[in-house]
Amino acid sequence: MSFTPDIMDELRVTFFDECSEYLLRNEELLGTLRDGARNGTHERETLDAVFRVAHSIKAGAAAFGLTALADLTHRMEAALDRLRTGRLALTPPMLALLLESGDALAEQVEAAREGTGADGERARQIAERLAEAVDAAGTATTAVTVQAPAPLPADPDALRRWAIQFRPTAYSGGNEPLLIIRALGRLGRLVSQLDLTRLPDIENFDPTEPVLAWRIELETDHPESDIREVFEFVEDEADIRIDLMKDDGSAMAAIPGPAPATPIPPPPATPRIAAPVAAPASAPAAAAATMSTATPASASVPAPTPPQAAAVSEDATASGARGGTAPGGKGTIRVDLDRVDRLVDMVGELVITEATLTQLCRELDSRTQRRMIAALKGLSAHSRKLQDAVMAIRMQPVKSIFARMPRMVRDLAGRLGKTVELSMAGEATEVDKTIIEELADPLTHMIRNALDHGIERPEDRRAAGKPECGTVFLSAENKGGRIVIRVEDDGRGIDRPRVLAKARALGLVAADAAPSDDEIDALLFAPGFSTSESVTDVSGRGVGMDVVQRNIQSLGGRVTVQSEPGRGTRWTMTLPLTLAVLDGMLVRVGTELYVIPLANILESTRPKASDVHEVVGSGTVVFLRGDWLPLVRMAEVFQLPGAEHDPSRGIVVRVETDTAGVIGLVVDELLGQQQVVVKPIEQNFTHVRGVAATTILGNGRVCLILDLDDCVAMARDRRHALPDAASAPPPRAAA
Amino acid sequence: MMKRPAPALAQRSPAPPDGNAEDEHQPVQFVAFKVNGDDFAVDIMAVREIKAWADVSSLPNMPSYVRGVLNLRGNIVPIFDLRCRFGRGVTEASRLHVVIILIARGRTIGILVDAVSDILKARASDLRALPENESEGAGFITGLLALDRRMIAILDPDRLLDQSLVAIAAQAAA
Repeated sequence: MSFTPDIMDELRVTFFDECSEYLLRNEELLGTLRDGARNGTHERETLDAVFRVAHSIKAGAAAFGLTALADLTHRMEAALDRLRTGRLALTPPMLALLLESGDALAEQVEAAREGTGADGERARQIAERLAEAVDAAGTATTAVTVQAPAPLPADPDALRRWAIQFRPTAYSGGNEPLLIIRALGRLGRLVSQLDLTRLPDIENFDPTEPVLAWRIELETDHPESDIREVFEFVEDEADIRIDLMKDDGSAMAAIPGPAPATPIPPPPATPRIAAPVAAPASAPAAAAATMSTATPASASVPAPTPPQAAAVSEDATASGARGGTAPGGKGTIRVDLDRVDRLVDMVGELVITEATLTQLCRELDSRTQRRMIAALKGLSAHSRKLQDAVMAIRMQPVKSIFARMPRMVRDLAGRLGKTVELSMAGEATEVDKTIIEELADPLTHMIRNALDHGIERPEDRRAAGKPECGTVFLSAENKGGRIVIRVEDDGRGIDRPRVLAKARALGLVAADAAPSDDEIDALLFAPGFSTSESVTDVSGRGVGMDVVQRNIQSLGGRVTVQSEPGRGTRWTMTLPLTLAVLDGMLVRVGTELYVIPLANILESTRPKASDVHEVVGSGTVVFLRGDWLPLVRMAEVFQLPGAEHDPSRGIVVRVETDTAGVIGLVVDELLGQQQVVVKPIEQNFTHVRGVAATTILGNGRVCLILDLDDCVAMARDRRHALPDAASAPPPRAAA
Repeated sequence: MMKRPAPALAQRSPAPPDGNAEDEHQPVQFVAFKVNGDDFAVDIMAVREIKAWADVSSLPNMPSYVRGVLNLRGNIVPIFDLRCRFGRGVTEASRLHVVIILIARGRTIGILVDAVSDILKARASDLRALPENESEGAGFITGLLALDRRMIAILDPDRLLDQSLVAIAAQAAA
């Protein structure tokens, strides 16, 4: 039974995955709340949704024994419950507290995920403040909320609270705890807490031996005899203790166990009872999901005022029904990414097989051929659709990253003393999951830059005749099989004289050179470049846009910048929609075929022999568009006999590399553009210098995808003399 | 695909008794093949399939015994030329040559050989140690089988891969 830790690990992973989703959703919802508060719109549904998020995290946290997290979410839940039932007003300080608690929650989740049990001080403080808010609400709301009936029952004799301990000692007589708890639930409002303290190690676990026990808090107007009756048939097979609780819940405190139970907030109307208690029978972990959290400090939490069933049952039913579905409202399943990848692979194979069939078809006699071609066209259409459908599985809307940005902008603007409004468009644009993950850092960096360097202080903006509130516009769109993400601000634009001065000081530009505006803008991408006078905690640590550019380029993307002084700056990132397929240019070098990623290709040309020059000791250059372009001959890099060395007889492909700027790659022939399925070579072999990955062509042959930076480095190694193109950042074509 | 390292003969745990187990050592099966007239064998458990030679796509700047990679139903598989690995020159491969697909260190690799000759059954008692002065293919030939007056060298796919990768890494660093 050694698999148990694995299963727990898996559950943990799932829990944290879900937490990330919940946190994102929380962020988004709190944003909606804030906007709503500004416009004065009704926030009930949003509060319900935030409540459900807190509740879901709490349940999982309790199941994994993450007490700090469970405690925090519990307090959030309590506050949110009062907020959504109108017993607590959503005042600006309250909203701020919720936002802070969201942050603390993210911290706690992260700490728990890393297992670093990080500093819980902040979470504790926030939990306390939430508790205070709830306390205050408990006394104040009766007076404030007129429509809500008095929280205390009119006749205390009618409604009493019972503490019940139920510990089955045998299951042989058909003793089914679930049925008992359900039956109790029919009597009134019930909160059950599962006691796992007697659960043995898995090695010692005997499934016939009852180890579970329940602490049940029941609020009912039925007499004790009715409660006893529920246990009538199991009296001999269980330890049962039924005590009447005092108003302060003190009877419960007498019961051995971690702490008094505090009820799960949705005040369940009787018919709903079945839902929360359905779980205990299924599995301990699931059972824990419905139990209320035991909090070491809960002595300070007053027993919640029993809500009036009539007033809240409608809400409970409504939120319960919605809570049953996934956060997005649509039915979703969680699938291991490996499985999807396998599917992507198989579809890739299918496409290749289809190409093979088409090729074979040419060898048939003309009558059969015509019919085969018609049939193959159908196959081709279907396999293309299949490919799209499979790729779509990996696609996710960029919303999952965009949603983090408003919060960051707000915090940052506050710290910088600027007023900034972030508007977004195209959040629904979808892109491959791998790319989404890699996109978060660059995007964060660009937005920080926009706020720190782009947007001016309010007084400066006023002086410049602009509205005090700056605008950052974040957008995503699909364009020609790629995703285009823009970050625009209406700030001061790139301060070109300052950039140039800095670049001269850093020795990036010769003192007498007079670079064009575009060239100056491109300096922002130079390694170590930062115009920030002082290093702030916002941006300007010297690891700036060059890192962003490298990240984007490693994904097969490109970053460009456009700027107008005084009017603003626009950063544009274009990225492939997926990493599993790549748009490539098939080229021939000697007898070998290679794929060059299309994203790197700027143009291709056959230069005149008179424009090609050997520079003694430093390789070959070609004069192209008024500039000297260093050449890299694939024939030399890969030492391919019979391949073309003369650029004027082959083709020069102008490509952009990450480390060596723009170079010209000399190949024999361009064979055409095609989409290829990327297959790593490392899986069965090892990294091969100059080769980024492999793919399989229509004829079934393996074809290598070139790693251009490697190729340049290899050419340089061979001759130790390629002109150092990296010493000055190359002019970059602004998009 | 099963990712199971080929166990060496001596370490092999006995197979479950099948009723007529008379020897304490169960026989182990080998695929025997010829390279340049010499006999070799590899544990059958490491062999995934045997296929006729087809052109491979060559990899740049590799030792000459790395013939390239081929597409094995969508897997990119490196092919090692054994004759060349033994320093007897690159095989002039034709359709009559054979590629044995092996599992080595959980990876799928192929070896180019002249022909597959036999499936052998051997016991631990058939195993001989390598002569001291054995130098060719040192490292990945782990023993000899003495069967019917023949001496057959046993090839360890794991070590073949290890040594090749080390050599390639060393060449790349140079």
